[in-house]
Amino acid sequence: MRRLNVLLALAVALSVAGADPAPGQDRARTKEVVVGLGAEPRTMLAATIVDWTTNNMLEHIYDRLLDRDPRTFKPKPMLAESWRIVNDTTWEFKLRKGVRFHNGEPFTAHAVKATIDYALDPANKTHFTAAAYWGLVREVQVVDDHTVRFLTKQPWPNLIDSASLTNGLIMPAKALRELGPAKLAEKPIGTGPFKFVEWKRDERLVLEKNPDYWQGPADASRVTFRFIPEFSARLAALLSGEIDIMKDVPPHAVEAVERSGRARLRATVSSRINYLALVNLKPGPMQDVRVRRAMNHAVDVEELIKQVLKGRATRMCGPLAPPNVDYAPVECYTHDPARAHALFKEAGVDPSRLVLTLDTPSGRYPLDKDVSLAIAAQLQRIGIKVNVVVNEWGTHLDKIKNRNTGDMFFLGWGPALHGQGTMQPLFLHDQTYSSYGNNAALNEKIARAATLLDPKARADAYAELQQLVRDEAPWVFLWQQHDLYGVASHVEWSPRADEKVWMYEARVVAR
Amino acid sequence: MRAYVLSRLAQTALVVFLSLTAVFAMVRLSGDPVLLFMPMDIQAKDVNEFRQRLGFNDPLPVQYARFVGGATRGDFGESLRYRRDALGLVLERLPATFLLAATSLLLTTCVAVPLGILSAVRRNTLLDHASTVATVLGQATPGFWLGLMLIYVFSVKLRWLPTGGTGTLAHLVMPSVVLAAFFSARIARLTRSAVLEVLGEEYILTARAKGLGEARVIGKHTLRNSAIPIVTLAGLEAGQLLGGAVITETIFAWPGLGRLTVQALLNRDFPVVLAAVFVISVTYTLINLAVDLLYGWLDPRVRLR
Amino acid sequence: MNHLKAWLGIGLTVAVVVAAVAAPWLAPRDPLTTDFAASLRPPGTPGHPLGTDQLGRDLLARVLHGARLALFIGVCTVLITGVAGGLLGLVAGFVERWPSAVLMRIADVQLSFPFILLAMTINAIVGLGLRNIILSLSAAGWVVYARVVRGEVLSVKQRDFVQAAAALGMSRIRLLLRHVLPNVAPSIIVVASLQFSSFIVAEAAISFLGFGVQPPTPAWGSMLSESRDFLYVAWWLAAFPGAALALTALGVNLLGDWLRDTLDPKLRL
Repeated sequence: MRRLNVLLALAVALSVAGADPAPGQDRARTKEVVVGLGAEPRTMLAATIVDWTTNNMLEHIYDRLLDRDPRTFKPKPMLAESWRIVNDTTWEFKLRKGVRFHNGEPFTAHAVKATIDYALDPANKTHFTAAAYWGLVREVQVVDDHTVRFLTKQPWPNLIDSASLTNGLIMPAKALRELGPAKLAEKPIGTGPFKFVEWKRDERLVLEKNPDYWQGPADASRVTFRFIPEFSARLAALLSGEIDIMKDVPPHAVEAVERSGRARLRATVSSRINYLALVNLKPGPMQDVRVRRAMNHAVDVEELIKQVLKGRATRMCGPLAPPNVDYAPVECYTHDPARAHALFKEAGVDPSRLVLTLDTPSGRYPLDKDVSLAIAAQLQRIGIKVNVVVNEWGTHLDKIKNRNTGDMFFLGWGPALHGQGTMQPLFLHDQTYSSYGNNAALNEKIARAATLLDPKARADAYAELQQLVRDEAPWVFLWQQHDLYGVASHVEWSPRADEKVWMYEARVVAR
Repeated sequence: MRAYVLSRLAQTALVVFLSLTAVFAMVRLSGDPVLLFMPMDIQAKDVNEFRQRLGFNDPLPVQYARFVGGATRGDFGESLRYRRDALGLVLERLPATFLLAATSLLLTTCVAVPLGILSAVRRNTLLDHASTVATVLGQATPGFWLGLMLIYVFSVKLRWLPTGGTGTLAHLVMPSVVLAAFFSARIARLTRSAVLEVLGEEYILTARAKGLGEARVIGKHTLRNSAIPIVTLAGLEAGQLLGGAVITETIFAWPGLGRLTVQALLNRDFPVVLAAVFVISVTYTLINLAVDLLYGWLDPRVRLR
Repeated sequence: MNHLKAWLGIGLTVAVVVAAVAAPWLAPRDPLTTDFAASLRPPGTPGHPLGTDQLGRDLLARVLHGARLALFIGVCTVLITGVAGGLLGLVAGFVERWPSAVLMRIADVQLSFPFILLAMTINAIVGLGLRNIILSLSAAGWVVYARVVRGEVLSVKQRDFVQAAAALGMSRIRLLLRHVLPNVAPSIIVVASLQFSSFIVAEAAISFLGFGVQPPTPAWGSMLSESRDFLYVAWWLAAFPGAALALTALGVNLLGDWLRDTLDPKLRL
């Protein structure tokens, strides 16, 4: 027994000794930042997988042709200094001179061509062969070392959006040729503000400052992304000083962060939208536009925001939200049970005999399952009985794809930064995740809007579309998510609406 | 002896092959494996093209033949999610799980076995009763709840221990305690009853009658003879530790095999699921084989056939 | 001490059964009714003895209704596995030759895999929900009965009185019913009582990992899973459902121990 006691005491002593995380002050001195994320990247190979976390990590190592202004979301120069439209199907980019990759290889037009060629080669099984990404590119031509042309299969105004999003992370041509993609996956080589140090799957990704970055070196000398799936675990890590920035603070934990004295809350209105689809792609009451409008009057969105999300969402009235470059304002549906009753009556539907099914994921969007249960409770007030079915994420996607959800389902969409990216996949009947379609007038207008190169014509077309969609009420329009971050006091950093956790902008200050 | 080991290994191969076949059939019955790996704004036609490229549109027998062909060479294909060799991903996680399991086993042996012996020797004392209560409670407390409560007390409230992940020894404390708790309870109970049984045997009475000191009676005669059931159960439990690790690793974000398996199931990452099943069942049967051999060594009366 | 344990086991089990049966009358309100204005109230709030969850649902009501679900799942799985596994074991033990070999081979395959992982894998594939979790647990759990029963049958068959009856020309069916079945019944009962708690804990664990029974159904496992997000602000959401689960398992375990000691002391499980 005595030996046992000694062992136990030893174990406890060791554990307590090891438990003390390197204090925040130390990291402030060495200018290290530790970021806690819920998800981990899937690969370190650029231009292969479309996935938010993966590309967010990669963006620290790789640059794109164009960047986005964090406030207006308009494309702005990055590796390309300027661009112009040569003709309907040709874009030309003038590239920045004097930029080098982390291995010393100079950045030229060949790198751009090699990257897009890699992404479009079917043998590489990248996601970018799809039309929504680079699939519309016929060929990339090198004009000279610092001029490159994109020839497209059809007029494609959104090319510039693709070039400014994570779709175009430029890899070094020579290294790609000589080392091959497998080696670049092990040790990525970009032109970005940080260099790759180490990636331990499911645990951490470590990056260090690139002192020769062409936009000037970052303030942080070292950035570690730690992958901690649970909210509560991330929160505990933030409050105990294990991490400096925590993504996705749950609304009900905001107070705990503010009270802690170790960290502050930083919030931003995201471009990601949440909505309740009213499915008209299968038989049922949602075929009738009057029923769909009645639903919009019956659900009290303001109450949901206030009570369930504790005010941490911004109401949205149509299918697009302000961060979307094609956004135009439309009038909101008001919460009006009397109006809802009238519309139900007009449609010949008795709400007290209506039994609906609502499919929801759990844990994918802020309080998604709870919001769905709350919506069911609200509809119950006007007599509609709603069965909420909570699905595991994969099943939820399967059900939407196979059109065997209930009459309604909850879904989020984003980053939703241009109109085509929302309208086309969600309101055409033959798209994987659409809930609404078979509206000839709408189909035609969506197709037309996607090809307009003239900014004014494009703005008008999308404004008309948004009004049309609002009146058709394919969804109960809900809100833009708020992204909530906990940020330690010695780090100065603000979140962005495009969900990018961009550590180049972080400043470490000793306090 | 050698023939025995060889035939056991052949049996293992058969069992592993059958379980892989069963899992292969089952995973193909679940949902679409491709959707979860594709960005959401992709078009239906692109999804289908992807499925075609990955071979999921082929007839099932063709897919199965391809799978068996690959598996015999240790090739389970590429993880759909991570674009990496599935078996490599699984093997990469094995050390973390072994570390956790070994620590728990060590903890169990250091705590449960002495406790069991003591409560048998000091039967019906306060110590015995206290240890009975502890073991009964330990067996009834679900590991994942214990884990949550420990996190609440030691991470959230006291901030002594990290909530999860790996790195320092401190990271290992809560996961191994949770994993050890249940097994300790079982082992302690079993040790107690095994020792009690041996203490009642005639040769112990003889040893005592010969005037051997109590320490030698317990140390030499009793322990050696009660070791057999303890080792057997510990061996069986070592396999079950792999199951317990699934839950423990998920709660404490421990990057081991269990967590990888759960995630692969949720993500429908079939190649990883199959590789994990392969590694788990091989490990499991090898542990059982080792236990049997140990059994024969401890008790020469047992002839292995 | 042993009497105390037995009584404690019986007491706890009876309490859980009463809670489950009388949940609708014992619970102060409906377990699904939401009340946003009263969300995350701590225990001791008037009208909510155990507090409320994030949607203002009464925790006591949810825990009580959870007992219903847990017992329902436990009873169903134990019945299904007991009958199916018992029958298969009986047949395999009685008609040795190939049925026995096939059964033991299947058992080996299943036993080459941790129970919880097997049940979870099956559940991930057949889909979530109450019915499917019962099916998954049964599919993963019948092996234990089959093995124990087969072993018992084999040993009973060697006994003199059975040999004698067979020699006297008693038909195989009668032999099975008259002599073999009564002798293996205690083992089945003991295994069932010991399996019961492992089934309900397994169900909770699987629901906890995101498979199994889905919200809003008040199952202890999924309640615990939900509680993780609120651990910082509402400890009671994790504490009470877990305690209910642990106490239930404790009661059933003690009862099982007592049954084993009384009916079949040799059985080591």
